[in-house]
Amino acid sequence: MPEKIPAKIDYIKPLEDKPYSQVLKEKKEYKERLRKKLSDIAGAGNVIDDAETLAKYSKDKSLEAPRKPTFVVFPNNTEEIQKIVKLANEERVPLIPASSGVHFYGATIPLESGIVIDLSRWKKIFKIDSRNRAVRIQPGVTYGELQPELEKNGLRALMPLLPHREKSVVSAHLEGEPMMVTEFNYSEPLYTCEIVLPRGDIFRTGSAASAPPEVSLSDLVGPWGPGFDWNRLYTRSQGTLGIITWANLMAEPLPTVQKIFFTPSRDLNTLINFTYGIQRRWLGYECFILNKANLAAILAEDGAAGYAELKKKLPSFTLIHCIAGTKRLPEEKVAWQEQDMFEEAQAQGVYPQATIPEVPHSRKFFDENMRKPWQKELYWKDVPRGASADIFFLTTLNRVPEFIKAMNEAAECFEYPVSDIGVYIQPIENGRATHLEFNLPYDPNNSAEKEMVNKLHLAASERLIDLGGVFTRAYGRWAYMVNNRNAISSKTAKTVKDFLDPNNIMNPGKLGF
Amino acid sequence: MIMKSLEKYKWDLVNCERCSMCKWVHPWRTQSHRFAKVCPSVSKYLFDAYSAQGRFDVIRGLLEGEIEVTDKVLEVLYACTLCGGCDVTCKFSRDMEPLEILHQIRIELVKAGKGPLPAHKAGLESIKNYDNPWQQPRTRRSNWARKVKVKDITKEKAKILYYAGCTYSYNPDVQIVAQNTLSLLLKAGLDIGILGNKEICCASPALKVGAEDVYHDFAKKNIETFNSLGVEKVITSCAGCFGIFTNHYPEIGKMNFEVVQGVQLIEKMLIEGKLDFKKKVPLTVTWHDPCHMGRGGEPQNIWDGTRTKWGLSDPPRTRNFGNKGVYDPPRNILKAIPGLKFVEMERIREYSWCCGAGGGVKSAFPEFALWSSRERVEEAKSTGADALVTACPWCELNFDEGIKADGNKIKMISLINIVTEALGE
Amino acid sequence: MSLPKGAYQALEDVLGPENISDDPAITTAYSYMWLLYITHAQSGKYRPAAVVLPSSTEEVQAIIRIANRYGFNYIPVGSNLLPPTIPVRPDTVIIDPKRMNRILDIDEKNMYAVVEPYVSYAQLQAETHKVGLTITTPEAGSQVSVVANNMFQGMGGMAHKFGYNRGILGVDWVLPNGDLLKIGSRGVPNGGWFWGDCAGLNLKGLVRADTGHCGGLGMVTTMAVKLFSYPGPRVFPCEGANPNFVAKFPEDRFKIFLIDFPSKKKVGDAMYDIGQCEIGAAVHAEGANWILAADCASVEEFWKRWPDFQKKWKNILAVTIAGFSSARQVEYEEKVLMEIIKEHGGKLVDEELYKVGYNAMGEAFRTGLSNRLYRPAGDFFVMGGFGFDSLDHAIKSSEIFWPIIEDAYKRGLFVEDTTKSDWINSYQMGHFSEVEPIVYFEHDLKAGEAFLLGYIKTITDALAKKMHPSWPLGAMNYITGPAMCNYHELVLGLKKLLDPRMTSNPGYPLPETNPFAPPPEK
Repeated sequence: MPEKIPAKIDYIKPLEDKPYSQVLKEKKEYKERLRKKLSDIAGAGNVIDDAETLAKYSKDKSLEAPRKPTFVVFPNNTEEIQKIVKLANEERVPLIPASSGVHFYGATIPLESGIVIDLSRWKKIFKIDSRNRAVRIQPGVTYGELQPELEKNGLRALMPLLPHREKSVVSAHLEGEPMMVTEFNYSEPLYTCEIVLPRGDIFRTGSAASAPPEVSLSDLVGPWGPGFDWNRLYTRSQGTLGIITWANLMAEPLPTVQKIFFTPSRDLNTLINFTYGIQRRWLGYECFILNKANLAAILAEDGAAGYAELKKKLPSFTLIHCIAGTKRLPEEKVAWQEQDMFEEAQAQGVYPQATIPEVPHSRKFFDENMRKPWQKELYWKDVPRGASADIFFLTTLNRVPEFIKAMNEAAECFEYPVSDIGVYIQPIENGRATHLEFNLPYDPNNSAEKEMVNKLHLAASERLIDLGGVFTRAYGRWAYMVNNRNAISSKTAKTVKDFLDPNNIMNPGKLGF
Repeated sequence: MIMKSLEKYKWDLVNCERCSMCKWVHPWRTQSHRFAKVCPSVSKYLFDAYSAQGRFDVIRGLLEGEIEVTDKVLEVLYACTLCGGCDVTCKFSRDMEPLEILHQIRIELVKAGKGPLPAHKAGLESIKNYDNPWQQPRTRRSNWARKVKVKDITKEKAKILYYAGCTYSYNPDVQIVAQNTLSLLLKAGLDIGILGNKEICCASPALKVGAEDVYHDFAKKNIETFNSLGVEKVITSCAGCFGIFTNHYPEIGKMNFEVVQGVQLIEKMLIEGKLDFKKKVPLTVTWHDPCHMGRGGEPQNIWDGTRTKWGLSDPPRTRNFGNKGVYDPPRNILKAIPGLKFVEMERIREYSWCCGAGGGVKSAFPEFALWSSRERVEEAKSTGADALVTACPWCELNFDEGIKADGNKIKMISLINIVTEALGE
Repeated sequence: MSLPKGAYQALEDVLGPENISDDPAITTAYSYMWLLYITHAQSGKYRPAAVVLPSSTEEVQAIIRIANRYGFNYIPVGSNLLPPTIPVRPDTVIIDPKRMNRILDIDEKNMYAVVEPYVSYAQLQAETHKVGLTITTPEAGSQVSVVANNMFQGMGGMAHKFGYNRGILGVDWVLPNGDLLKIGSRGVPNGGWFWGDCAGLNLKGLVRADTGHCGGLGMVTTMAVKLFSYPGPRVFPCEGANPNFVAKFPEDRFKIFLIDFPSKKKVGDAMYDIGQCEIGAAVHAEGANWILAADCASVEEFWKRWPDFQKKWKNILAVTIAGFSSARQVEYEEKVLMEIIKEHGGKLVDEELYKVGYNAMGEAFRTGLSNRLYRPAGDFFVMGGFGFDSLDHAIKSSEIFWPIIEDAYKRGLFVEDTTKSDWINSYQMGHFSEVEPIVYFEHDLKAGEAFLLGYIKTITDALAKKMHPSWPLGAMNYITGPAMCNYHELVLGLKKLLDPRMTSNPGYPLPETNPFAPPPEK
């Protein structure tokens, strides 16, 4: 205790302050210093920060709020990425990997500013391995670029339903997009990959870990390990755990003979039972159900007007199912599978047809386009109104009607026309689970409508999660919804993230914590 | 150090791989989650020590001086009915003798003065003093046959000796089995005699608890007696006696007679058309294979050799796999009875679930014996059967207790009693 | 072999006195381990301090929290078959799941089952066959735990059709800190058990890798597993009596073909073709020793038949075709298979050999062959193997393994096998493979040492050749790690974060310090 209280208390010593002019100078210098360092690494021409570019990367086709990055960088090779990652750690600046030309779900919108690492120019197809049914590619390769090359080798890529033509194949796999072919999915068509870790080290998964591909005597197709299941950890992590530089993906034999069947029904349960039946028997390849809204969007030949007309004609739901033969005795394969399929159809009281009677060109369309990205300028989801807000998750086929009911109820609350909602049911893994997707078309230029759809999207998502929808691809708002409902999972995930990325530079905030 | 004779089993003890097959019915024979286990001991007590694999580890621990014989060790080694379920499943893959080893450790414990358990002593003394484990006087042994006119084989020669066994002789609840069996055989015109009060225990209860000396004495005496009678066959209704005569007695001395289980003879009579089933028996029944008539009822393959390289036996050893027991005769008999519907349980033949009474368990671990019985009764009930049928007094008495314990409606019936009913007698 | 003061009482209070024991008569049954005895002479050195029998996830959480409070270590086991579950510290508690033995659900429509850790494959299959479903059973035998096996291996005879290491769906996992982590759809309210990938960051990636953590990251207490369609009889079609069973499947829906090829390369080519044609349910190149061991009722019989059998059985491919959809499928696939056989120079084996190998189909569906592999010599294991990559890689790998094996033959330590026939597996329609040369040896330290050093050599040789090595277990991760992107540092880092007190089987997934590191300089 002091003996005497001093007259003047002078214990608050202000820190030295900088003049504001210096603050402004340092701000500019910071950005320039960062630009210089990035340019030294990747070349000045590959470091972009003009307003138009930054605006483009600040948003995407989702409803997530726009946020600008500081720079967009196009590295030329893996070493440059490593250097950028090390720089990011030093400067504590976030990195956001991107590889598609178009983005749908907000994964590449920087939440805390940062540098977008754009690999969409990385278009190498290293090796097509017909024997092992594999293809090793860089992240910028699109389905439009890959599929023709695979076809020359008697293979086809595993594809989601009519992806955007700028969609990166590697992204589609890493995002865990549901593939149309249920048999080969096994949910995990990724063999091995190379990642630049958040601390800048190179890591390769599975059997690729033993040696770089240039010298490895393995075929890079062993997907597990080493140590943990890194492929699984990295899939759907939205670039928060590292930057993929190449991936070795499954490819499958290209059908040489095929028959596509269209099974319409007003009663979804009947179609679901039929789907269970054919999936359990491992019949056919592509197999999915679309409601009239989505089918109209896909088949409409002249934009929104055509869509509206077609929607009136189409059956409530249609199952589209492809039976095909590949390498040996393809016609015989188609024949026996067709017989079995009709056996199942008869048991369920449904009638698979060679085309949709109301849409004569449907057969031709799917015959020619099933294994291609969307060809037209206006993406099919945007056909009805110009944009679409999507909600998707996993569930089981038998619960689909319950979720549709919940979605419709939510729409009614917001006076959103139920008949506009697109429904896409994609069975995966021989029908043991299903990707269920709702597409909510809206006019992006109508701010009131957009705001309404945003609220509907939020409310419906909350409801669907509470009902039991498994949002494995937890983009944006879903990440927070998911984490809020599972404290232990959130805590453990944060432990993993903090360990792998101690400076939290990799796409921070995307995991919902 | 005790257990010198276990040294010859060291290969088995050391090569046990912990595959856990000894706990289960063979997978190809498993028909449900509920009735998939074969070892009552580990199924009840749960710790691995109570399985064959676990007991091997305990024995190994004793051999290597890692542990000592304590009350708990004795409990672990004696809480086993020696049913042989583990032996059957192990041998599917391995060239080992689990049952022999589980038996041998008891013999060693008795030799070392550590066994048997206190609960066994009364029965053992009774065998030594009264020729039966039930502390009953010799003079009452043949009371069960008072009303049956049959030769006293000690005074009048006969071709066949009917050996009632101690339990059928003394226990009033099951004496009817011996009576009905003997009556049936006599009616069929067979030349049969009984030893009456001169009959002595087969000594299986002594052997099962490890009192090998007592067993040797009695077995030797019995073989000498049966040989001296000049009989062609020795018939017994008791599965326990049948098992010991078939599976162990040949080690003791040459047997100049054939050992036959009562049901085998009844089946023979059926085949020869000597049984006239006049009355329908409108029951649904299921058959329980007693351990010592089934997998324990195989003729023994005597072997006294060593293990050589790769675990080969020198001389080569023929093993018992449990598949040559008396399985078909009782089934054939039951299926021939008019009005009777026969259904099988899941764990049958060499995978039969033990009733729980054998191996000294009934006296030392009565709650375990009851538990095992109730488990089997549940299995019988699951078939929809009205009655559980068997041909072993230990099984019958233990199942009766198990049925009553849970107030079940299913009945316990001895095979001979159903046959007698069907014959209209 | 004792616990810190107070720990036993705490455990007893949670579990009840009948569900815990530290008596040597009980604990000694958990201290011997076949493979470890011969490889490390460690088996039997430590009895666990106690064995506990929890009955629920909550009790497992309590056990693990008590372990953290008092600082003792624990090892959760399944059927307790393999070396990683042997106690190597005196204060180890074995968590024996025998009271957690329920099948909680079989969802026939969505093809999965929910099981507790002491449910065996045989039990699960017996129930699933009743509803026309099945699960692939591992070669370790269908008496092993479904949960433990899926956590560790998850291989199976039907992996060609059903996949490898894809079988785990929703999981309840008690972490080393006692928290209950629900993996997959379990982590979502009303999500059920049907899916294994997590909502958000996919923590399923921590559940296991190409192999599991052997209890080093807590304990899984309930697991949903995939089931698959099964066109077989509701009761397994077993004929015969022990030990000579035959599984007589209905021939219109199940066929096995045993095909002799002129070389291992041709076997590989045929396996590729079969996968590319998307036919077959089980596809294995079968080792001669393995097939004969499975067909013999005694070791004497094996040794009598082995000299002659070796001459006849080389480069044999076993292909099981199953009509999952219909008999038409079997007819079609058989036709395709015949084309493949012809193209690659194969021929069907004669009737004598067919009879010997026929049961491989039943084994693939129901048991797994491993149990019978102890027959030839008393012990066996795989020399190398489990290096998952392509079929070509598998065949190339065996070129590394065989010189090591032959060296041991020359020293009289392993059973000699002139066929050099490996067990080569096709997984997931030939997308992956691995090769397992089975070696047989007696239960002694010299042979065990030869095996262990040989196994490690397969790893170092493979890495030197830039190939994917055999599975490293435990400390071996320090050998593979530096050559494989230093994954071991990541694994150890995560282990330390998830198990900060190192109470969960501390040597796994890898020990804290590198036992192969040279001693520090003085």
